[in-house]
Amino acid sequence: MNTPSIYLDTNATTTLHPRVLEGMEQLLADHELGNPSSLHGAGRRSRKLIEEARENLAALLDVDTLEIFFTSGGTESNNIAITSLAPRFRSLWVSSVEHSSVREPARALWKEGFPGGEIAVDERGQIGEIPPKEDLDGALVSIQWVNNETGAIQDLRRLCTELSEQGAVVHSDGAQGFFRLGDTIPQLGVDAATITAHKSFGPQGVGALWMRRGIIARPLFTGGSQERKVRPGTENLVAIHGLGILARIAREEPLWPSDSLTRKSTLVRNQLGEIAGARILSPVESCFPNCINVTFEGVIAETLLVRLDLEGIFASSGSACSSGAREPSHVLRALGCADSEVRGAIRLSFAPDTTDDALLRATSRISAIVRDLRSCHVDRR
Amino acid sequence: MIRSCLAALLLTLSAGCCVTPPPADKYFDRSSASDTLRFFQYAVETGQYQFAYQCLDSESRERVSEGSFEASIRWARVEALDGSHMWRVIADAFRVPEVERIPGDPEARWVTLVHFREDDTYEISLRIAPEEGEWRIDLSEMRGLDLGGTP
Repeated sequence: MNTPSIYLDTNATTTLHPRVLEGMEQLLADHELGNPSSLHGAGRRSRKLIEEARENLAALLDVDTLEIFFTSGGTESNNIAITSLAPRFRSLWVSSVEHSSVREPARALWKEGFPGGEIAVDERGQIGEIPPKEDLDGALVSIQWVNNETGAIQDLRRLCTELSEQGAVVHSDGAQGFFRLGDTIPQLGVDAATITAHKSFGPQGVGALWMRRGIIARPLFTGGSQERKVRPGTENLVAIHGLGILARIAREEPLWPSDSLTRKSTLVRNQLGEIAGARILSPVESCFPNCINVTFEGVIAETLLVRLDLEGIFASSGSACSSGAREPSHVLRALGCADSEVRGAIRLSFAPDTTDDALLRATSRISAIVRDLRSCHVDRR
Repeated sequence: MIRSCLAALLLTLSAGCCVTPPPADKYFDRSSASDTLRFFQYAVETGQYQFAYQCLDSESRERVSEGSFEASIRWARVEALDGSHMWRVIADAFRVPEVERIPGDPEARWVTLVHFREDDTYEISLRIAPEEGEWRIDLSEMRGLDLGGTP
């Protein structure tokens, strides 16, 4: 009998919520779907579905529907926010632990001479000091809400207050935050935000950029008037419909119940703590509890992940958007981790329905494989 | 007494017994310069030298036999990195995500491995180019390590 696999990579993507799947299936089976830009009845029906999805998302975020622009997901929203918005500001500042879809366009702008730089974090991944007022006045600042590699949660409410007092406008990459934490946009106090669906049981290939009215982004490309020209191109109707259903569900029930996640997190942390040479890099406080980044001395993460996969345990080494564990994680380096720790770090991210049994089995196998990998290296000395 | 001796013996035997690592070609391919480097690092780290050797281009394989290639990776040391074994230097290095084009050599790419030291970095650059539908390493152009392929 095959042992069932254990999926510990929900920060990369999640399965579809059954109600989202059902709604998308119904729409896919509809043979009279029109282009949402068409004037005829089929087109108007599609347009109505998109606007319903926008209303559901706006209600969840407590914002105006006119401020929401559907995109293909987090990477596109972040790119629009940085590449299109930043040139309208005097400088651009991003935290040193941003996702590469913020970091790379920011670095490209700085390379061209646009002013700005990185804001450092401490060993828990928290932003402490912000740049001085002379740098921030008229600046765009981008701060990730929940870090994809460590789960560290930034205190956005405090940071937004401090940054806006200095004259800055704040964008937040909320790909791992929205649908997981309950805060609305007015509560956070940001001016622009990135939202994605597939990190919380929604479909892949859809997300949104929310921008406070008055902030105008220059489109990254042209050739269509969809999404009020901010994101031209025929809308991904089925996925947008799925995102709308997800937003409606998230208003009815918490998708990530924190008590149960915290209990599971403690269980995993305790088990990992028993492994010699293991160190948990995710902070204890201010951390989304489904995510545990842990490093094993004397082990190379990529090899550990291959061995885990062989046993049906699916984890990853950090951002799914980079190609491999051997590329140095800028996030872990920003936390001050030694290279040997970066090299041996894997990310375990579980879902609310991951059972205790599965978590215990996974940690037990991790422990055995780590021991084996170390003994292999000792043999070759 | 006999039981405890047997237990100790079993423990010693099991400690020295590694599980056979999954073959490099199950998880990695050589469809780009960076994929080949990834394949190569995994093969070297897990002692799958035949797969590491397959990453070399035909000229490199003509110059270096599989045996001497394996010997240099297993036993040679790199003085610039505290005399670490070659395999460890390759296995432990971080990959630089950016792949560089080579002026005048449109098909080939430079890929770089890096070790971060206290004040500087130690870089190993490899020229990787397509050959027979896969990207392969040219040992003659390797910088930062000598794996025996220098003409």
